[in-house]
Amino acid sequence: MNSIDQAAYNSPWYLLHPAVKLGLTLAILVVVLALDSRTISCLVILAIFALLVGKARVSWRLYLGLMAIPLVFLTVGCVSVAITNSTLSTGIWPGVYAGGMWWGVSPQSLQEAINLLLRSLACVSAMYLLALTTPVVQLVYVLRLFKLPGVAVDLMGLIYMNIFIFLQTAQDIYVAQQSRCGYRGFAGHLTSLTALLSNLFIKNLQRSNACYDALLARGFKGSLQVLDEQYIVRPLHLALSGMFIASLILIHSYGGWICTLI
Amino acid sequence: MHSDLIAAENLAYNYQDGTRALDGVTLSLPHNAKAAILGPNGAGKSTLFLHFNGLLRPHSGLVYYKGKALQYHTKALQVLRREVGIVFQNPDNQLFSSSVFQDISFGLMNQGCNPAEARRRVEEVGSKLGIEPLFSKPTHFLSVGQKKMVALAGVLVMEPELIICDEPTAGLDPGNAERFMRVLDELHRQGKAMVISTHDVNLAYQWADVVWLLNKGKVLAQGSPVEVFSQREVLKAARLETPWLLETWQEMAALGLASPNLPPRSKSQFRQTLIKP
Repeated sequence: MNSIDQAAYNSPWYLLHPAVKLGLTLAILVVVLALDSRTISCLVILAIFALLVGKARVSWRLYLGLMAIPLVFLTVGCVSVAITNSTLSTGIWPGVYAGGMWWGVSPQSLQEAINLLLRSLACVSAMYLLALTTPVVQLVYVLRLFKLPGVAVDLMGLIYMNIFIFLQTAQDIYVAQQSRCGYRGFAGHLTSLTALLSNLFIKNLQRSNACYDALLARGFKGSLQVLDEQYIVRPLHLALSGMFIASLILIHSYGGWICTLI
Repeated sequence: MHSDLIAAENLAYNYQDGTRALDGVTLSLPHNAKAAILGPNGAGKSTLFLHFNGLLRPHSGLVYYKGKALQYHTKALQVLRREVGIVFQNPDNQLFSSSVFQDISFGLMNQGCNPAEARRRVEEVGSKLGIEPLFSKPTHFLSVGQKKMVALAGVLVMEPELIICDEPTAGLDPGNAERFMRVLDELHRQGKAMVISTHDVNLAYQWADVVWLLNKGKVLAQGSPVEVFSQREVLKAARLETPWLLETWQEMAALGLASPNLPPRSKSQFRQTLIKP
């Protein structure tokens, strides 16, 4: 989480308008899901990889590492899609007979599993395109632009900010407990963990009170009024994003020859 | 008292559990003065600060700002909180946004400042404190020293008359602590009044115009640093030591090695008092 956040803040696209980045991501998601084509999914995966590593200066190590996490889950999920059953043993490999059925992988189910895997990976790539270039504050800003209820948006911002402090507090308590021989044995684990959780709750309650005082001291009037940074909208970016989406649709419609390659 | 910038008169405040946090506190801060408040943990320093901008309301006694007793309706409090800014001890409790820029702008936007003007003032304060490079960084990845500067900036943009810093140097390394105090000095030169709380007697002695000594919710002593820190019994009651500069000078003056007329407030003044044998 820290590394994604850090990449987003250091991104050369940091100051680009978050609504544009969010828009492109959503458009890619819709196209990938609606067209349901292996070619398009592959193109999207490759294009986003090239874009992030080549243009947005995300290190390829970080990106591949990040992609590896969902890949594990998706592969496991897709294996269960690939396995099918039939009353006939033909077209099923390796064809294990159990419970009155033949179990194994058929060409269709394999196709389906691969399609699903690629489509999911393409969607994940699109989400990374957003996450690695857009800090959460900017997303919150877009939500405010779209007139979401102020309280909900304020809470999102606060919760996000506090995750980091919360994790740090939990970590500090954990280390302090361990240094005093906490977490010894099963019972020790339970008592230490209970103490950690209840302490965390109390600490956060105190912290939220202190936070509220500090907000009041700066004239808080019930909503978090802040000034956002000035984001840049370039016609070129809009045009390129549009062209990317359009070319995906065109390739899907007329580029049958490319599909034969993949 | 009514000609002072801020004053407390017979202030008393109890915590919910019945602990007496403030017990008849009477003190005052002249315009443009720098005050340091000292006292052991639990002496009531932070509680007193919260009274100064109306976050806490005394159970008895009054707080005066510019000669007028504080009023506690929303509108008056908004005005007061713009003029009396508090930089809290723990910046993590003060910074609520994960964007440095947003956080600094918060107080201004609450005043209903127009965005263009707000932007100008945020940038101005940013360059004054040298934290412009942090604008595009998230607050949760800053060091404590950087967080403290951002917290100060969030208060400064409101252009307060009085800046209150709760333990400004706590948790800072000597370099950052010195830098922070230099910034406060600079702000004082530009006409701001200032109150800090500290445990560092040497800092208080050299920096402040007025020293308040608090213990168990009561004022033990107040006055110029030399007046307060010369009262050994009082210091002992508050479990504080004499500042090294004052103590060394007093002993040398007693031995006839330093001029006994004017107690030195800085190393260079100290050098001037030395009598060459």
